[in-house]
Amino acid sequence: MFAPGSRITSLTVPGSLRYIHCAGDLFHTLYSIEGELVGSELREIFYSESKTILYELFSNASNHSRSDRVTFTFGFAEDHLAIEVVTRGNGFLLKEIHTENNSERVPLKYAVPFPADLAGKRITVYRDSEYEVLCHVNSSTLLDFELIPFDNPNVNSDDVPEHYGLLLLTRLAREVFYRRNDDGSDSFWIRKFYKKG
Amino acid sequence: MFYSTVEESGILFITLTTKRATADVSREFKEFLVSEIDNNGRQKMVIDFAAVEFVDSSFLGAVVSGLKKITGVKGDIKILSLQPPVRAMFQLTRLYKVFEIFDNKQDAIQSF
Repeated sequence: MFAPGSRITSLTVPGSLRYIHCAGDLFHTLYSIEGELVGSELREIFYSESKTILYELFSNASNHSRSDRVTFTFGFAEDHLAIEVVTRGNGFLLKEIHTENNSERVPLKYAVPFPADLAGKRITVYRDSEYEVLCHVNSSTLLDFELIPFDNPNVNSDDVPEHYGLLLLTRLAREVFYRRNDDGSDSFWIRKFYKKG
Repeated sequence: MFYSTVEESGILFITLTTKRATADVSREFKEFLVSEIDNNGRQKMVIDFAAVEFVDSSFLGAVVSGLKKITGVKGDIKILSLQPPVRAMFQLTRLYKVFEIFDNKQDAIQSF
């Protein structure tokens, strides 16, 4: 997942939310060194968005995987930043949400490894009045996520969700993947390109 | 403690005193908001973000939980003094359409 020539740095911390700032602080330091790769006009925005991605990845890892360790790896390539978060605990639980297509039945949940007949399917995992996040099931162990914008400006507190993790990841990064690795660990990783985000 | 409170004109002002309002404190903050609404009958709150340089979605989720709770008793939560990165998060999550956001305290008070 890391492009050849990427400058790679890893950090492993306990899975507790008390350590949430460790990765953020390391990223801050790395960005002060590597940030020159990003155009100067966009440098602050890119930093802020990458930091948001990082915190979402940590929150997901800590809240859902219940892993006792979380390993972050940052790869600064010529044209993009890649971040991988590896946990050892509960894998990603693929949860369908209610839509007009499944309003007559209970939304489905799938634990990794995902059923073979799911391969090639797209599942809605987030929706509000402006965006939908689709999960593409590539195989029993590999998912990627795609943001689909709607054209509906009406938002009120009744339809505002309280969980934005997948929305933010897909809004701020061009590529978002989940994979169950051969050694039983789980990876979430993103790629964020310097010029187009 | 990452916040302080003071009551003024029947409004509970909650001033966040942390630079980073994130997942590690979001549960505690949600419980505080819910407790103020359920146990103390609060219907008017202002959350002052002036000291906050970074906020994540978990913390915003806690504030949304508070909003949903307080609107159920015909109350409201207003937001005060967002720094640019925090304002950007309100825009990314579109919460700027849900909350009234003010740059000064007097406007927030008069909005109730």
